[in-house]
Amino acid sequence: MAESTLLKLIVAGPVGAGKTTFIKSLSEIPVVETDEVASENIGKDRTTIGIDFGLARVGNYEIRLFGTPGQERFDFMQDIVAEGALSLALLVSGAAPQSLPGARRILEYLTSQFPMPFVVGVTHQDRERAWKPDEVASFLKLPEEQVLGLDATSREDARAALQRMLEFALLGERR
Amino acid sequence: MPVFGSLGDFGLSDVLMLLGNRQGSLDLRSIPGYSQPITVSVANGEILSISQGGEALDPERASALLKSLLRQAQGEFEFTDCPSEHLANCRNALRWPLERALLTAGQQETEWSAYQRAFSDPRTKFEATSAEVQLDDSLRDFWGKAERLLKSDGATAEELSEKLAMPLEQAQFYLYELRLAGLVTPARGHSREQASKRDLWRQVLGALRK
Repeated sequence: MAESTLLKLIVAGPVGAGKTTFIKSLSEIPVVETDEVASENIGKDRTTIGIDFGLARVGNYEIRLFGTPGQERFDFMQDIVAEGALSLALLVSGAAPQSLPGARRILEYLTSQFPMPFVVGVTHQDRERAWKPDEVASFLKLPEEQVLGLDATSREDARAALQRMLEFALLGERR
Repeated sequence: MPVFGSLGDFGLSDVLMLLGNRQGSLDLRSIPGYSQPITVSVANGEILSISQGGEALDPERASALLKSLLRQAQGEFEFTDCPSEHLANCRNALRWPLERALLTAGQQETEWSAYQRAFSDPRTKFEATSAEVQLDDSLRDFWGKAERLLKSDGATAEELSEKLAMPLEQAQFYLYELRLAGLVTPARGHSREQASKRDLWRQVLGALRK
């Protein structure tokens, strides 16, 4: 069997976007979670306070999945995981527009300091009131094809997001 | 589905920029000090009218209200797309280009703290675009000093603050204004290292498609 190559994918985004769920959907090992009881009002009882870790296998490639905490006070951890990353999946909840400015802040910082392919996944599209992917794309000033709606609990959606990211990156290199 | 949210989370400038290529009405509610609902009608990248309690304001009152609203950190907004024929009936059409209106309103305000919610991370690298825009005196002075840095390798607010010996928040404010004017944008270039990964991307993509 050919030796596998290790790669790194960062999953970033504000609190409540579904980052840990996304990693669980992609990972083929039990995800190392760092959830703890939230110490402040962030709209849910538990939240990630460290770096979630999972592992996805794609052909001969092993993709290490690193989920960053969503709270701003843990922003310094983004630098730790961004170094040498293959790509970035930024998740944001369409039903929580209040988190969009924070999502933009994360996206612009990471992609300006660590150039890498990225895709934006807009979760919670099943909610009655939610921003659609094209509206999020407009807010983030991104092409619509770089932003897609997804269900973070779906393995197919998570893999489709990876595929879209790489397709877009290769398209960008040709332009 | 309308675009909605709170001015506690989005600056009004952010919301209006988002609506640049849409046409419809932005309703603002629960704004402290304003008991009557406020509606900003936009189309084709222009503010067509600003009305309060259903009455379209003249340019002077509209400008003063816009300036006040840009500083608001409380209130709710909801945007509804409208057919163009409805908007064509806007009386007293202002026809203010959005970016220009926001920039002008912002430049009258020297308290940059009012705009902090809209600032980028101080470590975000910005680079100059090829746009050419007329700026007011203070912004032109900053641009004159920062242009070389922003045009070469790009620069962060932290770097500009240090190199130009100014408070960090002031550098962030000027970058925010230059961004509104279209003169700078967050850097998102493809590095040489990234280009070297192209074959790897292709191979992973091929494996994903199997």
